[in-house]
Amino acid sequence: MMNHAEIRQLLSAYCSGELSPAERAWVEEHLSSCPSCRAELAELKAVVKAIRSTPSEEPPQWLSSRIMATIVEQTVERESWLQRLFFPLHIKLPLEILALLVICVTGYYMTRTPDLELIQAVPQLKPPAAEIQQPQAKPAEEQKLSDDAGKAVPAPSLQKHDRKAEETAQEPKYATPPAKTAPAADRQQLTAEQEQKGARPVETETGMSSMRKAAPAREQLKLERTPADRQESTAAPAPAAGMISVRVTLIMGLETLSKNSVRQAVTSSGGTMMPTSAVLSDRQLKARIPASRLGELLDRLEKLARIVERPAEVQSAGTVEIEILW
Amino acid sequence: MTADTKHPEAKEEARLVSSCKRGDTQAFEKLVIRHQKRVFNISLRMIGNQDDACDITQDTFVTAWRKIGDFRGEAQFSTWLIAIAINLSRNRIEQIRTNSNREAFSLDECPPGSSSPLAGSIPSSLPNALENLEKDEIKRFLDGCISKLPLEFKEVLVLRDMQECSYGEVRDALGLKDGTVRSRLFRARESVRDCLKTVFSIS
Repeated sequence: MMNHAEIRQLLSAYCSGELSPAERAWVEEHLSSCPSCRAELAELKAVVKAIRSTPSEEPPQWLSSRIMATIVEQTVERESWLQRLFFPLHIKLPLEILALLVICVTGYYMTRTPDLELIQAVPQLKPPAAEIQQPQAKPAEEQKLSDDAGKAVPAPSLQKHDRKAEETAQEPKYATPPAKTAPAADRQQLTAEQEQKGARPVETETGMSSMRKAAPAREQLKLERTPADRQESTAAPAPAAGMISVRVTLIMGLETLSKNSVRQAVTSSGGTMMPTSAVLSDRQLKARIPASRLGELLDRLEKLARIVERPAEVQSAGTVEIEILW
Repeated sequence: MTADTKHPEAKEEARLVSSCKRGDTQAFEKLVIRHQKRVFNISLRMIGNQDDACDITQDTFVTAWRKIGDFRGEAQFSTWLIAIAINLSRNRIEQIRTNSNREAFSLDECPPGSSSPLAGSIPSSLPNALENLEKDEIKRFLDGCISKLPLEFKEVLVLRDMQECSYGEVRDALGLKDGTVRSRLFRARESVRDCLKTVFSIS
């Protein structure tokens, strides 16, 4: 026989019709003779009925739209990161290609920086020579030079660091002041000419070493811009010892070659005119030019006239003395 | 609900679910409209307020959409949804509990005696009381008593008696054994009954 406790446990299930037929039979049999269990059953039924009749709430009307909006948004996000990377094609692809190019170009230039560093480094070598130069150079020249260089040149003081710094600063701008010279403070020769030519650091360096062999300071340090005539008064006509001499002969076409155009070609190629007293005729010029730029000068001359006698390209790193005849 | 009547619905739902697996959001929208009321009410009963219920409902469907690939159709789609909703509700309840200790309904709100809802007369029995009360009064007390239920009893009661899920659905949605469902349901109903009796001052 089932006791009340067991029956009561089944009452709830009995309410919901969840009992097996056998279980149901037991309960009903008990109930028929047990008022308290019947009362309890009635209570349970009433409660369950009340619970079940509680009305359901309606969800807000906007809920389903909001749900779908979220879902669509997430779906779009997931699918399209690749699309968003490349579309709209006509806008994004060019932009991305451009960006790629910029990166490549930047990378390329970055790999070239070592050259720049070298160029920057070289000027520092120059100062000593200049200092050395100064005692030898004529005051007038010095003055001119210093003026040109934009710095005051007091009595030659050798190898002052601040001077080096000054000159270093000046260097990138133009042919520099007398001072750029070789690291070793030997007497050189200056060829401040070389320095003056501007950005040829490597050559300058080697040029300087050959300079050392050159005759001393009577050579003119001259800035490119200084007209050749100024030099005349002071320059020594004799070629420096150890300097290579070449000659080029030109033939003019229909036009007469003017001395000025030759002169221009020379100075454009970084050459310095030698004093005209050193030349024999009006159709002759002598100049000094860095060996490395000889080819350049010859090219320029070729544009003016036909070269009939062309010197071999000079391999040395020093200055060459060139005689131009036409 | 017999297998026959369910059959065409079940087929159609299976078709919709397949479409959803292929990414058809419109098919999913149909499922949302079909099941949102149920999910909403379950969430509402579990969490106690409408705002949270809306959030849980949305999260339920969004989760279902994301995981539609995992649904293998062994159980009913609604059962799967309900399971998700129940889990999300549990998480949210935990969060609320750690933040505050409020109780949704307290018996103190209905002091016995003179403030008895059936002012003056003490009902002889609960069935009597429930019959004589206004519907919204019943609802108010009932809501209160149900909300006080411990979580595991509340879940079974809400699903079985309020959402009229079958025994099997309740068992599957909650991951319980048959015997557990039965005993918890019994305990839940008893608790509500006792709570109501207290409210009505019925011994």
